[in-house]
Amino acid sequence: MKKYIVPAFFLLPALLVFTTFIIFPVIGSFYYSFTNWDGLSATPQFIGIKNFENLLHDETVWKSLGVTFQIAIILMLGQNVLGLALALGLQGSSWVQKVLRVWYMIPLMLSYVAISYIWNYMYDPRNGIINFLLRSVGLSNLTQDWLGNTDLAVYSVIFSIIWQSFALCMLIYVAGLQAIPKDLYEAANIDGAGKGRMFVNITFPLVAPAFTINMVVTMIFGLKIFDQIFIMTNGGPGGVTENLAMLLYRQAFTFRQMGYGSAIAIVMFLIILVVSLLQVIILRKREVEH
Amino acid sequence: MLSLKRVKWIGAVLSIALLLSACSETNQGNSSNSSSAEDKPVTITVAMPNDQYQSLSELNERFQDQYPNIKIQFDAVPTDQYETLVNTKLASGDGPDLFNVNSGTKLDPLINSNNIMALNDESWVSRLSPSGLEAASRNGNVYALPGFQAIIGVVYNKQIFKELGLSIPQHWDEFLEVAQKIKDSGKIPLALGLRDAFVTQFIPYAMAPSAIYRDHANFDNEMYEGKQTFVGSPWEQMLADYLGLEEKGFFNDDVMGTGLDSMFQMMASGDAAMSVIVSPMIGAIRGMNPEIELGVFPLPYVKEGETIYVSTGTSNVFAVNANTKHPEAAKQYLDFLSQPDNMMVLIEGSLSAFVDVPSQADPAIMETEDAMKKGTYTMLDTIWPNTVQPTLFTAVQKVFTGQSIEAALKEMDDAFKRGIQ
Repeated sequence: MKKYIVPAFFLLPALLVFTTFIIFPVIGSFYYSFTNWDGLSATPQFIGIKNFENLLHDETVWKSLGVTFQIAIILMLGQNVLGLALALGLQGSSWVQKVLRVWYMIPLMLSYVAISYIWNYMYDPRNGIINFLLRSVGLSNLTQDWLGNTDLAVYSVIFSIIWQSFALCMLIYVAGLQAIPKDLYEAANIDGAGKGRMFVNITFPLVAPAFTINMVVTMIFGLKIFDQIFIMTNGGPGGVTENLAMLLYRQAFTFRQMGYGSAIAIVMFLIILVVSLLQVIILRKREVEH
Repeated sequence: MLSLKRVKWIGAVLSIALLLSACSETNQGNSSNSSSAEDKPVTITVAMPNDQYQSLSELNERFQDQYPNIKIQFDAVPTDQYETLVNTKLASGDGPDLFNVNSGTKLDPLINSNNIMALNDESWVSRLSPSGLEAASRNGNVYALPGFQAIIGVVYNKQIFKELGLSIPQHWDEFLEVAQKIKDSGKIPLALGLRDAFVTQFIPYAMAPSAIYRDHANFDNEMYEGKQTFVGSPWEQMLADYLGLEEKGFFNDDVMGTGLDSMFQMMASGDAAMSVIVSPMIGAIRGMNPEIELGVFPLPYVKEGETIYVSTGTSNVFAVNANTKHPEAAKQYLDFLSQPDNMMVLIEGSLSAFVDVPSQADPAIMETEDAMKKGTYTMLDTIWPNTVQPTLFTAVQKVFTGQSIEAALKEMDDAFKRGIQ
């Protein structure tokens, strides 16, 4: 035990910072969710589980729950399909492939706030470059109100998020793919397997660890998305892009219902916890089998 | 030579010391007694969102020259962080001595949590215009120093009106005719961008004074007493006419996806002839096109011959922290700002809230002076409970995307009831 004392000392500052700025506020949220605090008064009033009761009957909460899962699932699928597809193509070690792997990572290195603002301008129906390009090649009947059309808005936001973050998925898949022994492919080739067969029977099963990580991480990421939606549509038009995180912000800061907002935060936390646990359990089983 | 063990110990101690010093916060400058605040040197903290009242830095210099024993620590906070920052500081008992506040019912959370003090006995209170007094008061007490008065009106491109031989419409049917003529000439009658949610409120606020409050001044009190609701009131016609403008094609395309910036650009480039905006925004349009000739007229949401009432509101500059340790210095600062020479600099380019401070607003805004004398009503968010305005934003967006007006007004009624609980 004695040899752990000094390393423990070095870990202590980081642990203190983490506890102070993350653990305590989370515990604070649990506490505030049982009050009707408005963010200004010195003493919040305890109201028991009233916030959670209101939550269950609040139509906007159920609607935003639907939007949350819609966004999270499409994000998860989009990033993983795109990430895996590109990883398959770019897993080699030729210089072109190496350069492209770094190239696709550039959006990841940019501030997602700046990216969201720029996508806002691109999606502008009058002056935005997307509609401009469509008009200039004679396809003006395809121009859309990308962020204003209630059917399209969610997908426009999702698209910009996938554009920005799929590269992380791709990198993890590349690492996973490179770990698959090459002689398996050679053996399959000798047995006459085509590319499709090789993917289904060798690649996909053996990339399972990377698959688990990516699916779980992108799902959690997708369930919590806030910044991009806030900047691009602010939950609009008419609430079609308002997920639980946006609703939480609106209740806590716009309506000054910190207690209710905290209750929504707790519900989000529980949902993410349950979904992630389920995902890990189901996906881990796949890994063990193969 | 340092042994490895020693290095580890020194490293550990240093890192803990660093952490502790970063965590602790020393509160300085609170040792002076407030009884003799004018003699002893005093520092007062002042907070303002950085996109408003930008002449304050210059005025602060003037103040410190005039009162050498009072130093101002001025914090121009980025606008979107302002409210969170000030609220957090107030909740932890460390609030600024003076801070920017909104008007009307938006003062209530601060009053109820005992964070701002009443300023009824200050000498400048008697010099306030009715609109200024209204914005700064709640329940008969004055809580803030008002600044500039804004109006919601129709800004229009004078060159386009001249070309098409149009005159300023005096009632709603004339307004629709003017819009139709502009549309027929190939230009956009009204620029509107509902993607920025707060834009949704401009047209309803501009309609309401003439549609409701001119003849029914007690409407809001009746709402608070539960005798009136949005459903079944002139609001139904107002929203129908608002949507009607869209149905007649008087707005630009893709209203839902267009933002405030695009609205300004359409006006500045002459693509659009009119737009319903708040008067301080005219500066932004002029900034995009300094050559443009602009005018403003009140939205004539009336029948022929009836009087138009204008939607107006006064913004507040500062309230005083109820727990400030330097109330005398803070009040001296407000008194200084209220002096005509200083107030004129503070509200440069806008209408004033003081009877003895002349308005030197943009000439386009001054064109509405006569209309304002006939009748005004305050911008509605200052008298509603704070749950209603955000609900109005989503309600208008939903109506524009096909939801029924009745359902939208019901949501606003529900929000109103929740807000008065």
